[in-house]
Amino acid sequence: MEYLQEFPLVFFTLLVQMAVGMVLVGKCVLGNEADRALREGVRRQNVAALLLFAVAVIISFVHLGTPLHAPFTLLHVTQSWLSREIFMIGLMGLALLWLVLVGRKKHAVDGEKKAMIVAGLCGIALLFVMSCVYNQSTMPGWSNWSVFTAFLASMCLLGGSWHGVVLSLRKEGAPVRALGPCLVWTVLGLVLMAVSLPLAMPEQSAFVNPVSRLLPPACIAWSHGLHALASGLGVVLLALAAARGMQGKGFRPALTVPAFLLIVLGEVFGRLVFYLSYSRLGM
Amino acid sequence: MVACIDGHDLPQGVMWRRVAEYTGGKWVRRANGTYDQNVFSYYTSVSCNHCQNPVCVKVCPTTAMHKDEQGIVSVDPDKCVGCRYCEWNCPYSAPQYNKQSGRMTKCDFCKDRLAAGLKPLCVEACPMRAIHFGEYEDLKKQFGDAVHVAPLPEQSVTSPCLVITPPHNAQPVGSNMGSIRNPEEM
Repeated sequence: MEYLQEFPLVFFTLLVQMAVGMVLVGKCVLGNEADRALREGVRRQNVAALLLFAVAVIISFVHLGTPLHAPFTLLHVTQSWLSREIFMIGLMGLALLWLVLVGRKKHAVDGEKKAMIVAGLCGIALLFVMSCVYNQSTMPGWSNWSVFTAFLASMCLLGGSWHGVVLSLRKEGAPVRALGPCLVWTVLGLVLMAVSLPLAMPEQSAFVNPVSRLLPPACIAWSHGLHALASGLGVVLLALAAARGMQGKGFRPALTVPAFLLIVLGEVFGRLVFYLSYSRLGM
Repeated sequence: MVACIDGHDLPQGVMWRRVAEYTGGKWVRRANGTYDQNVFSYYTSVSCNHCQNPVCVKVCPTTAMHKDEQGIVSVDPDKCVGCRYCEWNCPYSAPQYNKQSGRMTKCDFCKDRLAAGLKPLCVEACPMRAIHFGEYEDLKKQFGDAVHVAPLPEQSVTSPCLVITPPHNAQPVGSNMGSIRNPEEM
């Protein structure tokens, strides 16, 4: 495994997780709201999620040595988690496409809500399968539930903070009821990260195989600390913005945009550390 | 190792057979001022062990990595997508990525030579006759049970078809007494 080899995977996994988060948080932001403008806004975010997902899939091809053989990756769904992940990527892509197409129909509010739930559930299943690709007994640094919780954390943080930015940029102002879901999802992301790190760090820091290890064990703890710090600061800024919004002082992009950027920065750094913490049993 | 690279015309950085230099131990001062030591160093020559439970075959998404009826694990280049997932998982670093072809490559026991009734290149080239090739059960009869030593992983992980005659100072699997001192050659 080489350092630069990981960049496509960093962006592929994060963009997929963000797209899933955008759909799930969008569903909560919408709630049972009849506000047409808000519905239109969430609809546009579903389209953005589909585009982001498509970009992630394109980036994933950069990681392959022979991308033209990609159709063969569905041949081993019975045993290989990587094959299952690719199958789920296809399923998620179809679910997002369905969601966007349903949204284009007039009077399709109920259908759209159902499609959002289906796409969201499909997304969570995809993240589970994606985590199993890493949760393998021969790769002890990743061989536990920390990978799934870390992926869920990224989904919550990126999806929640993205909707925070979108709501703060609305000309007519953000509806107070919609601010809660953004904040709750990002806080949930932080909680999941707090669950994930203690599970991950002892395994990732264990000096399993100096030949396959890319990041010295001593670096892992402070690297994860920096990741948590950036995400924590982002959530605090978003909470401040939400508090101002709820007091009627305006839900300002001056706070939500830096919050989003901090969270994105933390996630990119954290994911890179995740890949560099790779180690393998044996030689 | 050189015969393998030469015979298969492997590009730079691709080594189907590698030799790990595992060394460790220390000098300890006794009460009377003299020193005792348990320093050790030995070599382990490893290529693909064509495991009975090959993790590379299990994780490969395309089924390019497969085990044939003779028990040889090899890559089908017409299917391999070059995702390198087998490389991540194999505890022996057997699958090696060829940047030029964008596909994985690995030891296939010199299939073409076996078909011609010859032995694999590494077996024929080893000047110390330290590498043998044959049916796994026959090798176990000849050299004893399949003992493994550090830095190899536990046999239970993939059930490799490998028998080792341990050197006198061999460390047990999982030992943290030593380390591989030639990682750049691995």
